[in-house]
Amino acid sequence: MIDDSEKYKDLISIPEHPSISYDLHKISISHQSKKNNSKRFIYMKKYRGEGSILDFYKPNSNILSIKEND
Amino acid sequence: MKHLIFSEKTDFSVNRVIDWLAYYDQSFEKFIGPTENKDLFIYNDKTFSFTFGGKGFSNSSKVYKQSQINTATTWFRRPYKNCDHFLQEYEYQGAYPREKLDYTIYQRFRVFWDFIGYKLSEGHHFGSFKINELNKPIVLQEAQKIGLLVPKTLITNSKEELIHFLRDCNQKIITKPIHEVMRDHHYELEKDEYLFIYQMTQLLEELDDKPDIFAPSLFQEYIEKEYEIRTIYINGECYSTAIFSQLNEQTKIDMRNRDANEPTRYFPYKLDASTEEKINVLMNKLNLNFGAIDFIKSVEGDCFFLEINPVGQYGDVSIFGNYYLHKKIAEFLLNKKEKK
Repeated sequence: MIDDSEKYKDLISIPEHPSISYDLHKISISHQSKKNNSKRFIYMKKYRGEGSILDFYKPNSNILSIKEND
Repeated sequence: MKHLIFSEKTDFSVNRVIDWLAYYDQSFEKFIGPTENKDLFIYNDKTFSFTFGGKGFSNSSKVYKQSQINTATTWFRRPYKNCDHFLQEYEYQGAYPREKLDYTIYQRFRVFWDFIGYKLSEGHHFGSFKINELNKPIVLQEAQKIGLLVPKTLITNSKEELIHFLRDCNQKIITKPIHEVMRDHHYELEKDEYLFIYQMTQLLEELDDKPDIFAPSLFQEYIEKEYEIRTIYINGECYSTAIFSQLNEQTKIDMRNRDANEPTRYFPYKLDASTEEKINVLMNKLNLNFGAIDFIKSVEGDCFFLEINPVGQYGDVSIFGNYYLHKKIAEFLLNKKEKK
């Protein structure tokens, strides 16, 4: 996943305040698209027939990053 | 007899356990919530009756939905604390303010919901109805008390203290949330384009930038790791994998930042007996029979305890460690002894 935090820093600007913890000033942002991801899961495809980890393909799976053309 | 499972929509590993329950020809019901409108454990469609106390009065628990629901076991995988979904729309025009009435109703629902959890916990169950999150600083302190090595940790709202700590840790510290990470968010830009806002553990090497003022926050020394260890604790047994997250720049600081086509390498791993015993003591102290526990093995060979997630994911450890944890959980729910 490409970290675009610098590019979109205004969108993740958190006010400096004694009630807001330090870590919340370090959140990240990444530009993504809503394509069907299943075709891009090159590595995981080999497990598809085994039926065990198909859930990785779901749009809300915990896989955050997919590199193209690998 | 039914197995009740309290979980949430995105918890896919539950489905693999359900596969095993189906294999063993078991009846189950999965409830997810509270954000979903279906598959909720609602009680407007059920009749409840719990009796106890008195002299010669029998203790009983009955729940009916058309016929009596008999619970074989309960798995508190990710039980939900909010019970807003119990509220029903109703007409009201009384003098007592509506929001105060709603609040009062909510509190009563909440107490009854907790009572249901308490009653289900009396039977054969897995996971905890009460504990779906832990206090990170308390767990770190308790771990230290029983002899586990924890990273140098600072909780402060002082920039000056933070500067001293950074110096003390050779100008390399991390900041991570004192509670769980902020929930991810999809910010729509245009059709099929969005910004994904998320939180990872962050490395800090200098403190020139903002903020200068902040609430009490958690900081730890940055540990150069050889590998990470994720241990799944199930009823006194530890199932561990070494995770070679340091081999990829992207997963070096936070292994959750994984890449689907460059998966992080996992390897079955055995913690030393002393560490497993300490984990057992800690989990008993926290009253937990399940937990996903994270360690770091430093390049110097020290094993640092990081944290416990009482509702953490175990699917990766199960698959890559070849532990069949989904099957083990299903068999625990069935009260089956593991076949040797």
